[in-house]
Order: sequence, then structure tokens, then C-alpha cells
Amino acid sequence: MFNNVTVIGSGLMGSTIAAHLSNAGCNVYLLDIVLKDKKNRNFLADESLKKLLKIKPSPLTLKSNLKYIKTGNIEDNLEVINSSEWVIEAIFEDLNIKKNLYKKIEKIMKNDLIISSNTSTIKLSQLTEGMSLKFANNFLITHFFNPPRYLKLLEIVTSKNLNKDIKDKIIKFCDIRLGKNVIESKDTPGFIGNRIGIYWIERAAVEAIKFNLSVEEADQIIINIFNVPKTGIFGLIDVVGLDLVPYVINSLLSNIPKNDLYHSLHEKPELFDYMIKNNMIGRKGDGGFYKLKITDGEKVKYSLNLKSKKYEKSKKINKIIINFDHYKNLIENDINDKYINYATKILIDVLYYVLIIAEEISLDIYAIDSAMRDGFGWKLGPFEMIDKLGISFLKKHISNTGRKIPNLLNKINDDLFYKVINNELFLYDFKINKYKKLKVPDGILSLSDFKRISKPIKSISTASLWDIGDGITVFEIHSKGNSIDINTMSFLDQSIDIVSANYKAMIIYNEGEFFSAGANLGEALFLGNIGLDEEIYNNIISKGQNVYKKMKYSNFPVIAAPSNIALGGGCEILLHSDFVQAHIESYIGLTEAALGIIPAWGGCKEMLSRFKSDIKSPKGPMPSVLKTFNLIGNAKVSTSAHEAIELGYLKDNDGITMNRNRLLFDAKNKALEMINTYEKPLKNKYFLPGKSGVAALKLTMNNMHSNGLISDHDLKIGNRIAEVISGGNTDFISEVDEEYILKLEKNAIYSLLKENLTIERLEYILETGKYLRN
Amino acid sequence: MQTYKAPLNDMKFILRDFINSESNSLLKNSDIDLSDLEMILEEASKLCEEKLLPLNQSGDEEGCKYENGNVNTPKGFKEIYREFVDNGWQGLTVNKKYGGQELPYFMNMFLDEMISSSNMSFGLYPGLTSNAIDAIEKSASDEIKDLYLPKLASGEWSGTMNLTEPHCGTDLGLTKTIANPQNDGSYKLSGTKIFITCGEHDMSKNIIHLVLAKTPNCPKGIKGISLFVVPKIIPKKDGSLGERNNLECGSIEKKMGINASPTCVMHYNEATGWLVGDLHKGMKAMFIMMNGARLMVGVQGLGIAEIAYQSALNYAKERLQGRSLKGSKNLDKDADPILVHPEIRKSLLKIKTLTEGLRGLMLWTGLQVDIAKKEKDKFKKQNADDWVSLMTPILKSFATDVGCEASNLAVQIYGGHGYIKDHGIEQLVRDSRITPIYEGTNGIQALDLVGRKMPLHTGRLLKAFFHLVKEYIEKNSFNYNLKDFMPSLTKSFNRLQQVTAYIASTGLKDPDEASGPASDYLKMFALVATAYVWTRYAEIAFNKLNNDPNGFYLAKINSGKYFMTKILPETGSIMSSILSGAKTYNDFEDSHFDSAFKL
Repeated sequence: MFNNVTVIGSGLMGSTIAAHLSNAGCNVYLLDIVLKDKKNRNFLADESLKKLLKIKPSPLTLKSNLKYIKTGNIEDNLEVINSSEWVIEAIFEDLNIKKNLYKKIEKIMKNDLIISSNTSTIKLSQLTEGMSLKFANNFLITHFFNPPRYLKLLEIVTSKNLNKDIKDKIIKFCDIRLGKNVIESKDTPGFIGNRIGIYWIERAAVEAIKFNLSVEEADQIIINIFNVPKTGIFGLIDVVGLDLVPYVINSLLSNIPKNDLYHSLHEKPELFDYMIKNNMIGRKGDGGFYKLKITDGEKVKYSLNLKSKKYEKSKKINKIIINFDHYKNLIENDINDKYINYATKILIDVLYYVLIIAEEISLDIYAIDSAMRDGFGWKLGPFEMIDKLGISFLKKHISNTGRKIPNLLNKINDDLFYKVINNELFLYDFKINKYKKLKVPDGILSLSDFKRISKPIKSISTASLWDIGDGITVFEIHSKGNSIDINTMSFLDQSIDIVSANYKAMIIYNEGEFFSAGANLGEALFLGNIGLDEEIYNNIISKGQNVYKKMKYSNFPVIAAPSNIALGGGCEILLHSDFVQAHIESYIGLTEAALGIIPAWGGCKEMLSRFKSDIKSPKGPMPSVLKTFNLIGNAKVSTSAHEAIELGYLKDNDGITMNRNRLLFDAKNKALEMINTYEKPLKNKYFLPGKSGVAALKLTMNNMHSNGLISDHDLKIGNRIAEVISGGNTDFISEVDEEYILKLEKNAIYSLLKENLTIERLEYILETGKYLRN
Repeated sequence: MQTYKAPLNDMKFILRDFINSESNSLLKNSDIDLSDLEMILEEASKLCEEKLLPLNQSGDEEGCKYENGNVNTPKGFKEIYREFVDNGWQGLTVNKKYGGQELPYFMNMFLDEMISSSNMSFGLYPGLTSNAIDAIEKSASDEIKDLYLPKLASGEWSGTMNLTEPHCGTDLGLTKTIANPQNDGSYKLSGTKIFITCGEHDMSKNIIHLVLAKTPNCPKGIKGISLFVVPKIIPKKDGSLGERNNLECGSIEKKMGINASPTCVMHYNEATGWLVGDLHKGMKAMFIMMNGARLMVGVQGLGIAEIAYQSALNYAKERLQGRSLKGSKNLDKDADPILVHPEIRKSLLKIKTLTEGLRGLMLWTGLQVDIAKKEKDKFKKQNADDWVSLMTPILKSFATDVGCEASNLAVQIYGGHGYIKDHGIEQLVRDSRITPIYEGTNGIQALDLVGRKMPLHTGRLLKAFFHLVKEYIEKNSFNYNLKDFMPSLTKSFNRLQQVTAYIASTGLKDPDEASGPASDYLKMFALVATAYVWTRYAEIAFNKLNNDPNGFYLAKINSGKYFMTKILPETGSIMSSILSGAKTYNDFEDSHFDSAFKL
């Protein structure tokens, strides 16, 4: 595994790759050229480093990771490459400039230095042409996607000259330490992702104009059919920048074979020229296909009318009838609808193209599917889509366009590209015209694989308990937003009994978009509205406290393995676990205060004890109360697992997994490690400041309030939090127990839930997904 | 014989005691006080008892006559209409700016109840005008308001609502009537509308039609609909009458009841109209108006129930048949009045307690309309608005069901004399039968309650009701006076909470499970709400017993006891039915419906 890496080229890609290497704990040298007119010879790299702090979403999991990056320039500092294990070149996409740099490297490089290029357009054979064998033996392409921290795809291209252990080392490192899903591409222009992705974007945009669709309509159809994130095509171009699009397209077109289908379909709409001329190039320019205008302090979204070239108030598309699952049904009924016809056009053009170039660009179909999923956010890869649509469906529609049926379709006959045989996944290998078992790297475990081959131990509509072998269970929530309602909480209660009696450990884990958005607020709000207060008090608040407590003091280890959002009650479940194995992209927080309530499933209690047991704390009860208050009162959410440790939501010794696919495996390993020596935690005792603490906290808040920093209601919530975490009427020489604090939590949230302004906040977030300040 | 005296005692009780405190604060800034309002009720009662009631049966028998595009109203109607509008009744609650009297909204409910009791057909003419005023006032441009509202408020012109077309009623997204924009900002409308109440008649100088139509290339379905004002005679700018517009009444329907009001087929042939509200936002404008219209249909149900009650009571006292089982009550006559028989007493008390209870609920809701309009506090205003939205489908539906049931019970009490036409009792059955149908069928109201109002803002609308009652129960659970009321109110309220939570949670998983019992749920809700009203009535009445010369308050308490013990328990059986799920009908095989006769 590497600990020292040099990145040459500090542009957007170079610097954000360096940032992500620092996230992985590597020491990084970031080098760039010397600017003659600047006194600082490291000017470019230094400036890039500063920019890293401003980019959103942040390329750094912790701002302090910057300390791992040292800057330099290639004239004075190139020799640092030899104190690294790996050099990544991410300089300007120009063959000659790259070659010049390589020559310099070649001269001084140590024998086992691995060198890779982040090129997205130049072939490996061109890059190594004329270079020494020593260089070629150590050289490969590692193509990151922007932004490198967040996009999971990494394409590598290797040559037969490459030393054989290098490829494995790089794949392993990028997978485990950088969290990438690594696929291998052949040495062809644009590799796999961009070759298909750029074609897809151009086709979708050009045809949208021809079909007379609005940008919202086209985006919504693309979003629904390809199940991509909510930017759609035009939104994506706005993010990338329309000015770059012709450059990227031309570069690809000049390199792909002369007879490639793309040449014959390529078009450059006059509209794009117009937009580029008028700086309508997207977010970095003066608006793009979408534009946000601020009127009366409110952001209003406008969209470009593709015909008139004027901005109009963006219209929400209320109902797009098609998504991928319905699409086939609709089209089988021969419905002639503009939206469906557009969807068919794009789908068939893209899938056809993939079928005819698959063997040219990839070693197998799986790499292509992965590339589109991990690099472009498709929910299903092209071959997975073809399996769902059916070969005969595709043949019919390809014939309708007057094209020849692609070889690959003829070869596979009417079969599927992916098959489950004896509970194992097989894929069609076009090289040998046979099915082969899908090879999964060691250390990858997925719950969906268990779902394919087994039934849950027990299940309700919002949650399931799974046996994943070796006595280990997974408690999976699968409700909307993975929120926790009364039934889910009762099911967790039952699951604890089941595990206690028959198994050895429980992992709280799911593969939904969110780990958990917290308590089901809609349920609480509704019950409150119809006056079922006892239900809220007993079955939501008390029950939650009791079940989490029962989980904490159960006779088996509980490991929580979050990824993405874990808020409110979803955070509190982590706080009550024995160990947390978090995906690096975990956004954890006790956000209750922002909703007008307080953490009441033991969140206050756990944070107090966490800060208390911090041996770094000076003595006395107030520091832990203050820390807890800062966290809960400000409803802080971590932007990464690293930050969650810094904030205190995770413990220093909790685990972090960089690759999402490895999360369950890592959690299970931890469980296996814990089961033999597990002892349940001791009950916490607290010394809290009581009224004097409340007074101190209120003083600060009153100041904030009179300075207009917080609203009347914020003040009220703050006061309730202060009372709870200061221990109410206690004093710092009296010992109080967990029950005591839980009761304070319970009464505070119960009274806040009756406040109109709290109810307004809850309604607002349920209806808009946003926080209301009132 | 149709017998009717306006229930002024009850109305004054509601005005003075039931909605008293808040209504006073509403009246604070106006030059009208409670005694003025009572006087207005007395005046209204005279008009209804003396003028409208005598025309009820004759109007039904004569009906409206259609001739060459014109509709002639039955004898006497024109004259009464003139008197009605001349005395300012049309503009009772309309803004003073447009010549109205700007009285609280709830006053219209009292007036409409009396009119609906005495002559429901007549009530439709000014009623539709009120709807048109409402729609124009809330959505139209100032230009349209200034031109039309004064004439409508004075009753010089009347109004109609044109929604239904031959192929679409409930699903207005299918509307075909087209409105082509003209260069001068007006539109030309073409199409056919049916079931247009008072679409054509001879009582007013002009008829202002509010018409739903689609513009060319508008969005599909309900989102493409716009609302237009289309006058029968196009007014000049100064309000005087100009040219005849290109529209006409093609025919009037022969129908079951409300025969003295015409139900018209309207043809629009390039008729000139003007947009009301925003383009393609016609449904929004329509819904603003519809809430008021739906409440008023509920009031019709209430009105019919009242006259049915009074007519049946009168008969039950006079009609001598059989003897009381416990011994004769009327020894000097050959028989006792049928009022002695338990079955008759129960029928009468059923109507009486439902009607009086609903009257309170209706007026409480009317008061909330006024509060929502005038209240400054954001949450109080919202709460009042939420109450109205929530109660509208409940009142429309339940009060019209009660109207139908009451008129049927009246026929039953009359026996054969109710079935023949002479006494005018069967007319009540026929007239009331439309009320569960128009302005959105009662089935649609139930779906509105369960599918829209219940989940809206995560149950916030429900809060207006549930919190009011919950707090009342908490406050009064140890009130000794209410010992015969609180236990059953509490029990039924808890049942309603439980069933509400059940429907909300099952509805999330399976919409059929929520929509299936919608009308059962609506009824249960209405019963509990009425029980709350009766409990509050009783609470007030107990405090008035020491000064009760006519026994009004004692009667209230005892009526309340009847309701709580004999009517309210139905919530129990409804709950069992709802909790047993919707499978027995939703999963019933379609082909089994004709199993009894299929070959």
C-alpha cells in the first residue's frame, strides 16, 4: 500500500486527486510548473491548494487534511518523485507536453516508481511511444472522474509491458484506500466511460431539441429512463460547462475509428454556438440551460426555451408517465407519445452503440456496466438494461431504425447477458461466447446478494432481519428515507430478542440511499394532530429510548455501518452501538434542534457521556455540557466520517471504510472480532452542573438572541436543550443516572412538540425537504 | 301539510350562547350588534314563512316552462324574487364596496336554512348568484368586479355556474368547451354545458354565467382549465345592457324534484367572455367558490330536515290512531295521537337531534369562515381556515344525508298520506334527493376528506377539530353536569382517533384500504363532531336552567341525552366495519356481481 504519492499538475483534477489521496491518509507532493512572472516558484500549486477549501462539495474529508499535501514545482522539486511510491500525471491534455515531462521523469526515476497518467483522451500506446522500457514497464493510465472524491469510477489502462504486480497493487490501493470501483478498459479513445457517456449526452441534447421538448421535459425523461441523479442531461452540461463540450467531443471524434457510428450522428446545434458566444455556458458562466435569478431575496429557477433562446420561469413537470420499469409496457401497447418516442430514440441509439463497440473498448460487459453506473450515475448499466428490455424488443427497435442487428445480439441469441446459476451471478463473456462467473474482489459483501439467495429471519414492511452467516445478523431498514416509525422500532425490539437468543452479533446496515433520516416525523406529527399524545409519549419517545437502551446493553455486540445520511434518530442508533464502521461518505448529525425539537432517543445522554469520558477534557462538568450544547444546539452535521470523529459523533477508534462496497464486509469482520470477548458496557453515571449550567448557557443564548442571531423559537429550543444537558435541577455534586437524563429528554421533546412553531418546522421539512427558520 | 316556523329559538340560542363570545368580537368594529342580527333573523323568518312557503307546493306542481329559448318561472316567483332583492337579501354578506351589507358569513347560513326549508327551489336562484359573486370577488380583476358585482349583489342580475358537460361531470379535465382568445383581450366560447341550475329564467334582467373552458393548446386535463365570465346580455362599460350574447338555453330537464328551478342545457356559440383569474387556473378559482357552495348545499339538507321535522311533528300530534300501550292518553277521543308510539317518538327525536346538532356544527363552521377572514394571528387564522376545509366535505355530505333521511322518516310518519301528493311531504323526499348528488357527490366528499383533507400538511387540518375536542374533554371530564355526556363523547372521540390513525397508516400502504371506508369514516366523524356540539349545548343549558320559563334549555339537555345514547353509539359499529378492512368488497370478483342471474 502506498503512503507517499506525487501528483504532477495542480489543475482541478490534479489538485482534487491530491486532496482525495490526503483523505486516504497519504503524504502527497503536488507539483506544477514555475510561472516566470511570479516570485513564488510554487505559485500554481499553492493557489490550487487554497482553492481546495472553497470547492463545493468539498474534495477534502477534513480541512486539516491539507497538511498532508506539500507543494512544489517540477523544476526544483521533481526528485521528490523518488520518495514516493506512485506518481500521477494530471497535466494539460497535450501529448508533447506530457512526453516532455515523461522524459524528465524517466531520467531520474527509481526503478520501482509507478507512473500513471490521468489522461481522459490520449491512448496509452501514444504516451509510451519512444519511451524507455523501464518507463513503459512502470506506466499505466489511471483515469479518475470529476469529482474524484465522490465519483466512484476509476478506469485503468495497462499495456503488456507493465510489470505484473503493479496492476494489482494499483487496483487494490484505489479500491481499498481511495474507495474506487476500478475497471479495466482497452486502450481506445475516451476509454469506456467517456466513449459512451459523451455520445449519450450529445444524442440526448440534440434529440431533445428536435423533439421540441423543454429542457425540464428532456431532463425528466432522461432521469426517469436511465435513473440518473437529478441533473439530467442539460443540468449535467450546466455543471460541466457548455464551453468544454465541443472540445471534449472533437477530441473524441478525432480519435475514434473513421467508420464509427458517432461520426454519422454527430451534430452541433446552432443553439450551442449562440449560448457559448453569449457566455451562457452553465453555472460558471451567466446561466446555462438553467439559470437561477434572485428576485425579492428568493432564488427563482429559470430555464432556456430551446426555440426562442429566451429564459422562462422553470415549470415543474408534474407528471412524466414513463420510468424505465413502465416504459416497456407502454411501448408494447404502441402508444404514440412524444415522451415515449424520445425515450425510445435515446435508449435505442445508446444501447445500439454500446453493442457495436463493446468488444472494441472493453474486456467484458461488466466493465461497461460499471463504468456507466459509477461514472455517470446510471442505475443500471447498458447490458443490465438490455436484459430488462429483452433481446427481441431491442432487435425489433434496432430493425425499425434500418440498422443491422449487432453481432453481439446475434451471438447471445435470445438469452440474457447476466444469469443467476446456483445462486451465483454469471455473465456472458463475448470473448469465448460462454457464461463465466462474475469475479468479485475479496472483501466485498453485499446484502443484495443475500437477498437473492435467502429469506430474512423476520421481516415487516419497513425493516428486515437477515442472517449473513457465522452467527452474524443484519438489521436492515427499508422504509422511505429509511426513517424509523413505531413499527420499525418495535421490530428492532423483537430483533434484539431474536439475536440475543439465537445469534452472536447484529450489524445495523442497509443499501438504501440513506442510512436513516431519523424518526418518522410525519407519523409523530399526524398523531399529534389527531391528539394521540399518549401514543407519541409512550410508543414513540419512551419506546425509542427503551429499545435503544436495550440494544446498547444487550448481550451481543452491535455494529452500525452507516453510509450517507444518519440524522436524528438515525444518528442516535449509532451512538448506542458498540462500534461504528462508517463509510467515509457518512453525514452524521443530531439535527433535531433545527426542527424545533431535541434529541430524545438518548442522544443528549450519549453525547454527554462521550465528552465526559474524553480523557482530554479538563475536569468539572461544564466542558462536556458545553461541547454537547455546541453540537446539539447548532444541529451540526458532519460532511464526512472523518469530521464525524472530530465532532464526537463517532469515537476515535470507530472504523472507516473508503469503498462503499466493502462496508458490510468490514463491519462483519469487526463483528467476528468482537463476539468472543464481548462484554456489555457499564451504565454511565453523570455529574451535571444543574441550574448554574443552565444559567451560563442561557446567558450566551440571550446574547445571541438580542444580536438577532437566533429567533425567539431558537431561543426556546436552546433553553430546553440547556435544561436537559445541564441536568435540570441537579447540582454538580449529586450523581444522576441515565434514566434521569432520559426523562428530561422526554419531557422536553414532548412539550416542544406542542409548539406551533415546531409544528410549522416539521410540516415544512416534510413538505419541502428543507429546514424552516422561524 | 307542509308546516314551517323558522326555528328562531334555536337560532338565537346558537347566535347568543353557542357562538356568542367570538361572534361578538367579530362584530366589534361594525355598527351592528347582536340584537340587530336577531332582528334580521326575525325579518327573514317572516319572508320565508309568509311568502316563500306558500309557493313551495304550487311551484313544484307547476314547474318551469321552456319556450323558444326562454324559461318561465312558476306563478308568483317573479314577484317574490323582486321583493327578496329589493329588501337587500341578496347582498346580505357582500362587501359594502359593491353595495352589500357585509354581515358575517354565518348570517347567510341562517337565511339559507330558512329559505331551503320553505322553498328550496326558490333558494337556488339567489344561491347561484351568491356563488357567482364569491367566484368573481375572490378571483376576477377589479374591472370585472366593478362592472358585475354591484348588479349581482343587488339581485338586478343573477348568476350561474357552468361546469358539467354531457360527457363529464366529476372529471372536469375532460372539458371540451373551447375559449378562443380575441385581439381585444376577450374570448369567444363555444360548447355545450348541461345541468346548469337557473341557466335561463325570467326573474332578473341579465344572467351572468361563469363558464369553465379550455383555451387552444392548453395543458392537458384539469390543468388546462380556465374560468370565464360570460353574460347573457353583454353590459356596456357603465353597466347598462348592450347586445345579446351568442348563447342560449337549448332545453330544460324533466326531473325528480326542485321543479320550480330550471336545470338547463346551455349552448355557447362563439359567445363573448372574459377570463376570471389566471389562465389555466380555473379549477383554483372554482375550488375557492366550491367550498362555500358545498357548505350551502349542506345547509339545504339541514333546511329540508327542519321542515320535514315540523311537518311530521304536526301530523304526529293531530293524527289519532291506536292507543298508547301504557294506557290511553286521550280518553275523550277515539284514539291517541300517534306521538304516543315509541317508534314515532324515536323517529322524531332522531330528526330533531341530528338537525339541531348539525345546525350548531354548521354555524360554528360559518363562524370560522369569518374568523379566517378577519383574524390577524397567523396560527389562529390558519386554524380557522383548516377547520372550514376539513368540515366542508363532512357537512355537505352528512347534512344532505340527514335531509334525505329526515324527509323519508316524515313520509313514514305520515304513512299513506305522506305518499300521496296532497300534503306535500313526498315533495320533500324528491327535492332533497338532489342534495347528496350536486356540488360533488357525497362519495366524492368522502374521498376529499380521506384522500385530500386528512393527509394535507400531515394531518394539520385534523388538528383544528381533534385538539378542540381533546382540550374540551380534558377540561370537562369531571364536570358533574355532563356526567351523561362526557363518557360517551370521550369514547366516541377515542374511537375516531383510533380509526383515523388506522386509515392514515393503512392508506400509505394501500390507497384502496383508505378510500374504501371513506364514507363510513365521514359519517363517524360527523357523529362525533355532532356529539361534541350536543355536549357543549348541554354545558350551556345546565347553566341556564334556573331561568328557563319555556323549558327550552331542559329540552336541549334531554335532546342531547337522546343523541348521546341512541344515535352516537353507531360509531362503534362503523369502527368495527372499518377495522375489518376493505377486502370483502375490493377483492370481490367482478364476475360474481351477476352470479344470481347469470346463465
